[in-house]
Amino acid sequence: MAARTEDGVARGGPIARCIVYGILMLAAAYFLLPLYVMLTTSFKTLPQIANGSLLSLPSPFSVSAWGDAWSSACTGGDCNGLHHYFWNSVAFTAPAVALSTAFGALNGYVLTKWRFKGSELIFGLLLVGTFVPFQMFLLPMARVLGIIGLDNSVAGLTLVHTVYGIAFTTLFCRNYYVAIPDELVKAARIDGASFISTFRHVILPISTPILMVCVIWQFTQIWNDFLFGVVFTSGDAHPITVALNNLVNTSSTGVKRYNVDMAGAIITALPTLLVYIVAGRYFMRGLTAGAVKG
Amino acid sequence: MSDTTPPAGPPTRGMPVRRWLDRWLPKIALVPSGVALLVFVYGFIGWTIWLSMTTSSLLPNNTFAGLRQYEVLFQLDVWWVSVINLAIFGVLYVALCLAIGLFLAILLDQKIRAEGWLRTIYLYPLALSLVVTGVVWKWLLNPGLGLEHFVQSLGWTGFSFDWLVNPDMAIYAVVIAAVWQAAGFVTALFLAGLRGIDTSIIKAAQIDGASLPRVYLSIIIPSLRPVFFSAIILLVSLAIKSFDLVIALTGGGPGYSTWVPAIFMYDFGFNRGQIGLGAAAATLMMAAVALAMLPMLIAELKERRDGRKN
Amino acid sequence: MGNRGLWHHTACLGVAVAALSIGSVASAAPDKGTVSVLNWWTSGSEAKSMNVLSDMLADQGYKMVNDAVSGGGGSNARTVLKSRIQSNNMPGAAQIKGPEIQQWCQAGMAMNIDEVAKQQDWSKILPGPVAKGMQCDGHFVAVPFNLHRINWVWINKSALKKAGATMPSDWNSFVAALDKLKAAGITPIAGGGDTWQVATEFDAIALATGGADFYRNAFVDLKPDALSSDTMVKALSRLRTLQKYEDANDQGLSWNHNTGAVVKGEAGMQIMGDWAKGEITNAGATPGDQVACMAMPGEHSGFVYNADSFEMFKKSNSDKAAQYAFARTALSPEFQRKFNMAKGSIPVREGVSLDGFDACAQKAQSDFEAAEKNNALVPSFSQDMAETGAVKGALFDVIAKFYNNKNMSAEAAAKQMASQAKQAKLMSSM
Repeated sequence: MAARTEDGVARGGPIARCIVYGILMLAAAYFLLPLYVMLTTSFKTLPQIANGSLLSLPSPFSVSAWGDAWSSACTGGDCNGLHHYFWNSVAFTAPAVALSTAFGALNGYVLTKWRFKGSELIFGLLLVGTFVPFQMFLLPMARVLGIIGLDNSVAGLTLVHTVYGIAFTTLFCRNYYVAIPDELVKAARIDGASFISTFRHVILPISTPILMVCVIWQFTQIWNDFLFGVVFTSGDAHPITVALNNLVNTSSTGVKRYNVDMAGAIITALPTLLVYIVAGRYFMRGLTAGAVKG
Repeated sequence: MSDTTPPAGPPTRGMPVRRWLDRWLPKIALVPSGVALLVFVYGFIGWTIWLSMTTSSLLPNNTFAGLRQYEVLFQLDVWWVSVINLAIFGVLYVALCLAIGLFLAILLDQKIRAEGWLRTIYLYPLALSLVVTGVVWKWLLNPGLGLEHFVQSLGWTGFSFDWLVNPDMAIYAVVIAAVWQAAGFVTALFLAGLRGIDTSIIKAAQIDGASLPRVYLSIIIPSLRPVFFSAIILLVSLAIKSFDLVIALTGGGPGYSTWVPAIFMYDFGFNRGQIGLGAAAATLMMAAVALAMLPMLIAELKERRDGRKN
Repeated sequence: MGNRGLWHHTACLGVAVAALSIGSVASAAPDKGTVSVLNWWTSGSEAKSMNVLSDMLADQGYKMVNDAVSGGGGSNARTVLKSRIQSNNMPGAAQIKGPEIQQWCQAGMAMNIDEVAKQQDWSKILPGPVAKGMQCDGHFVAVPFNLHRINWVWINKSALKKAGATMPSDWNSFVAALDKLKAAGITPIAGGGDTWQVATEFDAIALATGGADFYRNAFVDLKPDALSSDTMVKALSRLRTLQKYEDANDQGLSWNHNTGAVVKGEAGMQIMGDWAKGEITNAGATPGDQVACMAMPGEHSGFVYNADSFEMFKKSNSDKAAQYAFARTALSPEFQRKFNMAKGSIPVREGVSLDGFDACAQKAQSDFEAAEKNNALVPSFSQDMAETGAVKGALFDVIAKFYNNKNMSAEAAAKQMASQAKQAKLMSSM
C-alpha cells in the first residue's frame, strides 16, 4: 500500500467525483437499509410495529426489547434471554478459530514451500470439500462423534468447525505464502534452519496479516453457524445462534415479537460486528498483503 | 524451483536425521488435515453415495435399491425446480457480486475520503446471521409492507415491485438479498487486489496515451485474475450452501418456487423421512459441482505452477 | 515480535474463556431420575407451559431436561432427533405426532408405557381415535398433550358489520360475505399462499365439502378414487375460489401477521387452527367476542383435530421411572388445564373442567364431543396427523403447485394428488 503514494488511477473533474461519491453513497444506503430497519424496529413497541410504516422512526422510543432479548426472552427450555448462550458460543468459537487457523498456516506453508509430488492434488481435493452443503454431513458426523465419544460436547463442536474450516484457512494462507519469495526460506535452510524453525522464525513473523484474515473469516463463519450448533449440542449448551433461532421462530403456534427478535439478532451479531469495525483495517491489510494474490 | 522432486531444495549437508526429518516432517504436518479430509469429507461423501443406492427412509439402512431413488428423483417436479433455481441463483449471484464488487472497488480506489467507513458499511452484512436479516428482507421486498408500499406512499402509485410474491420472479428477489450479503466482501477482495498492483506499469501506459477505460480493461482487470479465482471459489461455495437465507426470506415459496437443492436435501432427508432420496439429490449435486469447478481448478493450479517455473 | 505477543494473548484469552464457560455449566443432581425431552416449543406461552411440567416433575423428585429447538414446524427438532439416534444419545421423550409415532415404533425405538396407561386408564380417559394414535402393535408408546381444532374461521365482527354482511352459515353465504367484504375494500381473507397455511385452509374446506368419510378415505387411507374424486375436485375448486379473496401480497407472511390483520380489521377472516387465539389475545381482542370463531361452513360439519404428543424412547439417555412420570404428569388434570389454557387448545383428557377457558374453547369442546359421537372426527393431514412426512410432503407439493399456477385445473391437481401420494407411500415403505 505504501507504494501507492498517488492512490487511484483517475483524478477526474469535480463532476466526475460527484458522480463517484453519489454512487458510493447509494451503495452504502443499499447496504445499510436492513440494518436501519432492524435498529428502528428493535426500539419500537409492538403496536407501533403492527400499525406503523416499516421505515418510520420509533416513537415512543423503547429499549425494553433489548432488555428482554438479553435477559428474559424465551430461548428454548428457559426464558432467561440470550446472555447465557453468549459464553457457550465463545467456548467453541475461540478454540475452533485458533485451531483451524493454525492448521491452515501449517498447510499453506507445506503446500508452498515444501511441495512434493501430489501436494497440488491435496490442495485441489481440499478445495472441492468446500463445495459440499453441510446438511449432508450431519448424520455421518453424528455417528462418528458418537463413536469417538465427542457427541454433545464443546470438544465435538470444536472438532467439527475446525475440520470444515481448514479448507478456507489453507486457501488463504497458501495464496499468501506463495507470494513470499522462496529465497527467504532457502536462505534459512542453508543457515541450518529445520522445517519447524523455518516456520517459526521466517514464516510466522510475517504472517500476522493473513492470520488476521483467517481469524476474521473463521470467526464470522463459526460464530454465525446454526446447523452444527443445533445438531451437536443440546439445551443449556446451545450456541447463541440456536438460542436466537428459538427466540425468533416461535413454533407454528406461538406469538411473534419482532422488536425482541431484532434486538436479539443485533446482540448475537455484536461480536462479529465489533470484529469487523475494529479489525477491519487488519483485514484489508491482510488481504492486500497477499491473500488474493496468486 | 521444481516441485515434482521431493526435496524442494532442502540442503544436502547436515546430519542424516535432519535430512530424514526435513523430508518427512512436511508430509507428517499434513497428516491431521489429510485424515480429517479423508474421513470427514470424502468418507462422508462416499457414505452419502452409498445411501443414495439404498432404501433408507426414516433412518439410514443398508438395503440395496440400485438406482430406484434416482428414478423417483427425476420424476419429481420439486427437484427440477430446485436445480434450475440453483443455476439461476448461482450464476446471477456470482456474476452480480463480482460486477458490483469490482465496480465499487474501482470507485473506492479513487482516493475517496471516507473510504474506511464505506468499506466497513459494505462489509458488515457478512457479520449478520441470516436467520433474522432474511426476515428484514422479507419485509422490505414484500409489496404490501416494504419498498413498493413506501414508494407508492410517496406518490408514485404506479410503482410496482412484487418479485417476492410472484412465483416466476421470487428467485430473483432471493438474489437481491444474497448479493447484499456478500458483495461488500468481494469489494474488499478487489480493493485489496487493486492496491497490490504496481502503479508504475499503469503510469507507463497512461504516458503512452492509453485511455482510462483502456488501462482498466487491458491492464488492471486482467492482473486481478487471482482475485477472481479466490472470489469465485468463495462465492460458489456460499451459493451452493445457501439455505438459511432462502428459508428466512421465502420459506422456499411461493409454493416451492424458490427451493434450492440444499433445501431439497434437508427437507427430504430429515423432514419427510426420505433419506435415500435426499442422498441421491446430494450425490447428483456434488457431481454437477465437481464437473463445473474441476476445469477451473485444474487450469488455475496449472497456471500458477507454470507461472512460477519462469 | 510484537505481533506474536498479540497472538499469545489472544490464544490465552480463548483458553481462559473456554475454561470459564465449561466450568460454569450448572449440574443439578437429580434424585429419582432424569428425562430429557426434545421438543419445538420455544415461544413464550409454550415454553412456560413446559416449565410448569418441569416443576411438577421436580416436585415428585424427577429432573426434566427441556431440550427445545424451534424452526420449520419441527423440522429442526426432527433433524436433531435423527442425529441423536446416530450418535446413540436418544432423548427420553421426543415431540412426535401422527403416523410418525408408528414409524419410530416400527424402527424398534419406541418404549412401551402400558404400565402408566393402565394406571391412568388411558383407553377410558382419552378419545378413541387419539388413544389409537398413541399405540403401536397394541401397546402405548406415546402420550398426547392437547387437542387443537384446525377447521376454524376467525371473523372480525365489526369488519363484517361495516361491509354489511352477516355471519355465514353455509358455503354460499360464506362467499356472499366475502364478496361484501371485498366491495367494502377489506381484504376478505388473510391467507396468502404460504403452503402450510394454504394446506390448513384446504384441510377445513375438504371436511366441509366432502364430510368425514371422504376425508378419511382420501387423506388417511389414500384411496386413489377418493383422492381423484369429484368431491376432491369440488374442494380444490373452492380453494381456488377462496384464493380470489386473498391478497396475493400476503405471500410469505406468517400466520401471525395474518391474524393481526384480522384483529385490526384490515382483513375480514382467517382460516386457521385455534392457536390463533394467542395472537388475538395479544392484540388486545377477545376470541369469541370482537373476533368470532366459527367452524368452516359447508355441506358437512365435523372436527379436524391436531394432537401434540410425545413418544417415549427406549435405550435412551433417560431413566425409565422419569419417563413414566413425564407421561403420567402430562395427562394429570392439573397440567391439562394449565397447559391447554396457555396454548389455546382443549384438554385431551376427557372430563377436565373447562372453567376459565374462553368461549371458543368451550365451543370446540362441545363440537368435539358431537363429532366424536357422529364419527365426524378426522386427523388433520396438514398438521402431520394423517400421513407420514413423505406422503404429506407430496400432497403439499401438489397443493402448492395448484395454488401458485392458476392455469392448473382442479381435475389435474386431484389426479396428481392421487399419483404422487401413491408414489411417496411406496417409497417410504420400501
